[in-house]
Amino acid sequence: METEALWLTIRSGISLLALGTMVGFMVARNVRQYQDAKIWNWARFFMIMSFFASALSHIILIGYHSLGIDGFESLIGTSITEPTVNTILITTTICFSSMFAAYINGWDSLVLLPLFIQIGALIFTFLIGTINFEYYYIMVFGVLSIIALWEAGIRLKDNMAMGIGIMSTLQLIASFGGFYFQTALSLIGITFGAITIMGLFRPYKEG
Amino acid sequence: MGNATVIYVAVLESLHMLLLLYILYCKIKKFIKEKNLLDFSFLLVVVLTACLGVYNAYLNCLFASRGHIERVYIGNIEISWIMGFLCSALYFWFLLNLLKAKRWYSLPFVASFYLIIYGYFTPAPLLFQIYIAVTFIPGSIALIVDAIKRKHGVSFSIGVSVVLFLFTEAFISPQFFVLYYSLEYVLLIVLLLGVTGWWDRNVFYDREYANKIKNTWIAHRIGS
Repeated sequence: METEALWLTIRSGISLLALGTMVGFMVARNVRQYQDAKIWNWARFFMIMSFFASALSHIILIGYHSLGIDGFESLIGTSITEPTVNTILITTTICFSSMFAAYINGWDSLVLLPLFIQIGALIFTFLIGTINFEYYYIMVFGVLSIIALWEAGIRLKDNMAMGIGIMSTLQLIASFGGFYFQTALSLIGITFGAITIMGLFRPYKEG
Repeated sequence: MGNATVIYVAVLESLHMLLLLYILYCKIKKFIKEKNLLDFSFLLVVVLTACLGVYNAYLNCLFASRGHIERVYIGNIEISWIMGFLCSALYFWFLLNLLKAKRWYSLPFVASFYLIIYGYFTPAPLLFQIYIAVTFIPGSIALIVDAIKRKHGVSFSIGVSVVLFLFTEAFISPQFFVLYYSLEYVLLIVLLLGVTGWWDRNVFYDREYANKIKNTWIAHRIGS
């Protein structure tokens, strides 16, 4: 159990570092682009929000597993089926990732759909409390966004969509395995994500 | 309820149903002929309105003959409310379509979906009425204004019939029996005129444009 906690801390620490680098890198690029050309890159903004929510989730995990802050236990809960702050952060990550996938594919009328459903799910889960919609949201939109990212990567030959798609697929596969399998794939995935964001993953030269 | 009233209501409602089915037939025929996407969404509205109308007519007939009706519920929500939500989602969608707010297109359907699920668990007629009023009224007014601007008969008739429908609902009690049915028939006639193209031919008729075409045609004939 001690070793697992240690690995969990290492995993969350590396993920946090990578996510922080990715967010910082993308914010700097977006701000520079806005200053130069007065163009706001919405695709990058959606990814920033997605990584930011994921980073917050990792901060909670580190706070609980490494620092042992008591209050953080209730933020995490015992599983993803419980409506907790951590679940909301995971949902937000998926929500913005789906928005990114819809935006990059040019599906204009579907860009805000994940956000509307997310707001509805939040209202349902926390104000009305009849169904934990958050859980179903993660399952459905998680898979849909990965499909859409692959679609954008292959059809539009978009390097970033392809890279994020591979990263998300690795994370999804990781969730089905045991602890060490999960840790290894998560680390590979997040490293791959960081490489993509830095522009080093370029399967399509012209993309 | 007396026999005469039962027969009267049954005749009125049967006519109502026949008119709705005829409107539906005209709309489907037009869609098959023109295959226009906007026409398809209008077709969906007409189909839903017709289903709702036929279902209500059937219930009214039952009520007149038996004195009571057993409404069909799914959870806590009545089936006509579900159709109402789908209709209002489409109207709201029209409004967004007119405003060209493409990114908001999914909002009406998501809102209706959650309201249907909410209705399944909790009965909340006031919330539903507010939602339907909020979506129908601005949608139909925008539809009428846009139809007058673009001289489009079908959207005009749908907008007017929705306003009339909301107005009719205020007179649903037995004291206003005659007024209620009169308004319902006015509503159906307005819709029928739109679907058969009467508004386009007679009211939104662009005389200048028609004359221009006619003159060109005559000039062409004289020239040849």
